[in-house]
Amino acid sequence: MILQANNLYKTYHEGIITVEAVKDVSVFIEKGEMIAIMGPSGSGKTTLISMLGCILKPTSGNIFINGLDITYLSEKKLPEIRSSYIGFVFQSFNLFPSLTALQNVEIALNLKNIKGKKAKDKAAYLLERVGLKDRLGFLPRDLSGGQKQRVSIARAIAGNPALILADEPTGNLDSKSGHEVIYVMRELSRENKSAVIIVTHDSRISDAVDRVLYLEDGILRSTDPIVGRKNNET
Amino acid sequence: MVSIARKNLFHDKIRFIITLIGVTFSVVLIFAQVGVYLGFMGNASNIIDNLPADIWVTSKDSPNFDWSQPFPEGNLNKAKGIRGIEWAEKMVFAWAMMKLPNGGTEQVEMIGFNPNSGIGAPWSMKEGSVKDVKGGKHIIVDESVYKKLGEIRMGDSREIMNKKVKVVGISKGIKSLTTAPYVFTSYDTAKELASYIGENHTSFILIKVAGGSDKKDVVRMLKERLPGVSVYTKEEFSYRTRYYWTVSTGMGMGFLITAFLGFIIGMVIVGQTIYTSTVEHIREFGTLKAIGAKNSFIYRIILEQAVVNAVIGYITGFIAMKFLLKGYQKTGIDMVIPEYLMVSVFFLTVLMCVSASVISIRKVTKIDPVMVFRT
Repeated sequence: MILQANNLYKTYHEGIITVEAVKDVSVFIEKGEMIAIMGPSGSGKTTLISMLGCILKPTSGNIFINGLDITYLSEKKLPEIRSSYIGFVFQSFNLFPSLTALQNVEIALNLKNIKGKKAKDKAAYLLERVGLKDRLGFLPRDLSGGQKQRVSIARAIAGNPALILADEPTGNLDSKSGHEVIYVMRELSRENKSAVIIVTHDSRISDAVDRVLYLEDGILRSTDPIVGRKNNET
Repeated sequence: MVSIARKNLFHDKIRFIITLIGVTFSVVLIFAQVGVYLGFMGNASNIIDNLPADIWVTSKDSPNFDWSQPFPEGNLNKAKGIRGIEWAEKMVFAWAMMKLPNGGTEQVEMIGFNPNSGIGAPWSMKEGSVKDVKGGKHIIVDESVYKKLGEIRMGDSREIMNKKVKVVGISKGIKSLTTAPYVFTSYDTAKELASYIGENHTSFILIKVAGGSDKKDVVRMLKERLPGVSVYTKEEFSYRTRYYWTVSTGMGMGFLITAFLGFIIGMVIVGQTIYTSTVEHIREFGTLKAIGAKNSFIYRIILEQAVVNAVIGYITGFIAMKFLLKGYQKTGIDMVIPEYLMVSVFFLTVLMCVSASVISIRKVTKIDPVMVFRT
């Protein structure tokens, strides 16, 4: 199992008001599995994905990544965990506007101490894998939304992460580009045996994932493994 | 490795140029203020630094070279009687008025020296010889005084204190801080022209310590033997003179405050541009944190931006300063840029830019990477 989160709680205090953003949520995901977390705005999706991504500490509960309990690791150790095990894909792409597509991917490799020609070659290979072989030297402003998201995906998989967390990856894309992006993620996760968690509002994504988790008011209401089985059969 | 810092800097060219202008302006201002100050101070102690004396005997507590008062010449023989002295020579200094060809007058600083020993004579001659001041009312003027005294040629006549004098030499590069030109003449002529000095009085006794003797011992013995005057080593008197002009008159503080303002202006401009850039790229920095960059990695980006600004700003400032130097030379103002100043200003510029980036570093430290999930 790549990720196991047990009984996660996250409570925020805003003045005298206490908000329980996530309540008793348990999640697990296997290698190569792709799941979606769906739910309305304010349901706690972002809080949950932040905790699973080692960006936000839970108020209580435990998170294991590759068997390692990362819940109470110090802030200094968490960047290394993120760099080693997790890749991120964001709704707004979050690419460096001053860096080319190649450099945006290269920087993720640099963070893993892969530098120079080796980093360039690998970044070029990854961009080729996401279908951007002819866009290596393009700045983000010269790429379409779908292309930017594919650069973001290439960056996310640069460190061969065990887990990819994607936050509304199709949120800023038209349906065709959104479909392509999900397809690319699906392919790469199978190829690399990476697990993928997608937080989304986009109901079309549920057709492409193995399981769907529904979150409402911070509580996991239900899971839907049917889609997963359906995919495995095909 | 991809340099996000340089890419960020050069990506926004207008902001980069504005920052460079700020750093360049700051560098030029610091160079100009400190350089002109050093030029003035060099002139202030010019005579002391260049004459071959190790020890200067002056009137009691003379604050600097230009404000010396006459004291009895008898001190010279007393000084000569002290062990460890190679030679001792008197030199007179007096303020005098020179009549200009147009009928006006100009104040001059007159130095009278013994033409036989040449001690106290100008050390850099363009025309003529220091020995030519012998045998009459002969003077040597510096070429730098042409603007004040009009063009003076060898053999020209002038009047000092209503007495006719003849120009027998032109020196070069010997200026005073007070802007009153130096006029060199023989000891006797100087005393005759500036009679207020007094017949049996002098302004300075210049002493050379004999080889193998300890300068401090000689100074101590001189102080014991000559109670009515002050005794300084060359370095002490030079420092005393420069200290007077720097601190007592407030002139030095004026220059240094302006130089400091230059530093502050540069820091504010660089600080503001780096901070704005950091705020604009806050999402990217948050992304870097999210994908595993440590704070130190992001600090390096910001510091690299600061250092690149500093280095390029220093280079452009240095080039601008070279042009300014030529401009100053044309106006007759000395601007001295020694190597240590070049190195110091470079490190000061780096310090300025790095200090300016501290606020940005504080900002980045507080980034909550959760922000990357917000649109």
